[in-house]
Amino acid sequence: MTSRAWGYLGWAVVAACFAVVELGAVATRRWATVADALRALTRRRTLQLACLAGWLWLGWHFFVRSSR
Amino acid sequence: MHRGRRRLSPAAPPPVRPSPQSIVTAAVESPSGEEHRCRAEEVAIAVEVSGRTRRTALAVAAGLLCGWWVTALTPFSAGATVAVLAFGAAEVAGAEVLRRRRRPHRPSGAGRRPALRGVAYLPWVLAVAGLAAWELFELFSLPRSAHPTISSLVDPLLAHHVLRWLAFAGWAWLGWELAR
Repeated sequence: MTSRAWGYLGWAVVAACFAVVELGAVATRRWATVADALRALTRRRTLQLACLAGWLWLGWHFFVRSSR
Repeated sequence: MHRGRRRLSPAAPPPVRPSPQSIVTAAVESPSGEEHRCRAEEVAIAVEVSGRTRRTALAVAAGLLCGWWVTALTPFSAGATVAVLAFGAAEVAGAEVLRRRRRPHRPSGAGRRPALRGVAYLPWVLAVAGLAAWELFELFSLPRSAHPTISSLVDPLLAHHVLRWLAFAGWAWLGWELAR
């Protein structure tokens, strides 16, 4: 198996983890859903501002800096 | 001979649909009391909600149009940088204005799920840590071409304008959720 294939497999596992966490949260209500996590992040002003700064950086990274 | 032509009768005028304002006025001025007052309040709320829905739809449509333009700009250009940052700043400012307007009307904690304990967020912390660890591992592994990162996975998709635009809409929605 090539290292590129391992890379794709790793990303598939990461994506599956996110899906399992969200589906598990919705099904069992034992832990936070993504909406709960977003709400918790925006409850404190400093955390909210940090998230917004990260969000702006993401926009710049993907829509300005990406090569087409 | 006159097939397809409607004969207009002066005795039957077309039905007139009352405006929401006229319903409110009529209901408030009616002497029959509480029932009509409740109806007036319902109609007033419906009018307000319909106005808010229209404003929201207009804002979303304007955002999508603006997003189409922004995602068509040349990458690495100053114009694209300014456009993305200005869009983000405008969205955050809009959310801030709405939040300040809304705050006095909302009782504390109303309509919200009670705050979860810290341990309830642990699965998300672990998932995000896993993502960050894998991204860093791939980023610093050589040769670079054999180790895909999020950017190298997403870049070929974002080469298509429609997909880029949809991603921009998703990004804008996330920003709204974070800012409001």
